[in-house]
Amino acid sequence: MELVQHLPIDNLVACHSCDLLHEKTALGKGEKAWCSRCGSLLYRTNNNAIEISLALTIASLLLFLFAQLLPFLSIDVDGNKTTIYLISTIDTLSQLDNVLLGIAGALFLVIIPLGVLLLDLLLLSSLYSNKRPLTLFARQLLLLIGRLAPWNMLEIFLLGVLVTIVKLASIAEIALHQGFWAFVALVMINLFVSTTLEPEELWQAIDKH
Amino acid sequence: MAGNRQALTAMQAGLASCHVCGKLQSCKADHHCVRCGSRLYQRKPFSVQRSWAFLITALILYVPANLYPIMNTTSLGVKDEKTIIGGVILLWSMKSYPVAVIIFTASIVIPLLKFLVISLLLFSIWKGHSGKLNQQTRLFRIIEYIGPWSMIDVFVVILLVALIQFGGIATVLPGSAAMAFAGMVITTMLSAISFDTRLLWDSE
Repeated sequence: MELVQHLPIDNLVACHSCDLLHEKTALGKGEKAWCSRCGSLLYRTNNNAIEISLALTIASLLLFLFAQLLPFLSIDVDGNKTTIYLISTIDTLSQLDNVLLGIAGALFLVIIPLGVLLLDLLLLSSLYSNKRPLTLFARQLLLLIGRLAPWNMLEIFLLGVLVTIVKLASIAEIALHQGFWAFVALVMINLFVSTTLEPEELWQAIDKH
Repeated sequence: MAGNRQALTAMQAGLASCHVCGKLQSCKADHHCVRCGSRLYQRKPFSVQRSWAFLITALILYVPANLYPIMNTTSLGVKDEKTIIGGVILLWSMKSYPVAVIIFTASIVIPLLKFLVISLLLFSIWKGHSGKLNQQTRLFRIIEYIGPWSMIDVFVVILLVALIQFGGIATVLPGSAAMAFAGMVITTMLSAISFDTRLLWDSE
């Protein structure tokens, strides 16, 4: 315990995978620091990450609305045509007396992704505009975002859509609509944001206020 | 690369990085993080016990998930129930090889790999002998990343149910395995979230 006094804590970082301490070194734009013992990522830097992420979050929210509310895809079996909307899948599930699957669908397709986007928007816009009262609440927002993040599975759902299309292609005619393409764009942007924005950067931004 | 003159872990230095926000700070018993206010621990609390508990729950759910039908199809009055593996065999016989491989990997192989890797790592912590820790850490990160992809089959069922509701001609209903399978994926994810890779390195 006596070691603590001699160590410059603010200039140290502990590896999240193996706990080894490292001295922080300044990184250039886009560079990454790796643990010398287990090889895990220690930290990375990005310029303007907050501005870029805010812009992309607003774009994602619009795409999310398009994906939910515009026709997603239609299926044609011997002249029986149905067009589905993403939002209507949950309605169909809940009508089938399968409450649990309806809840799972609602959580994974709507509530969690929309929740994360709205929390991101609140947090990033308050950091961007330097609003004091919101920063008090920023810590809570970031904690909640961190807890929800592992359950955001839009890209996995997209692969599920592709598998469904291939499965049905032999028995029916499938047409993809605007909602589907908005969803594809949404997934791409989501993947980009998750590789750009480091939670540590947001914590440091909150600390500065 | 960050400098590493004294090979010292945060725990040996009496420090802890917050398991929620990552802030490095001195760790006194019963403390809260100076930055995010979460409870501060040097290692995730009851990591091994929680990991085992969720993993065993997942293993139990894996049985009905594979034995019961995941999807019930009625086509022109003919009922058909398909288990996960039955669906994969059908896809393979219809020559949809890529889709058969995707479903087989996501629904059968990935869960089994997760059971195997997490239990091996938990045994490795329990026995205290280290082995190749670099590889074990990397293996865990891979397993943690691919875990949620098992949900594909659940999403396919949800979509097919929503798409195919043609009254008398064809209907698809979710089978009893669908919820067991979703529960299995969620509990394996919780097991991975509870696991603390730093425990592997502590014996070094």
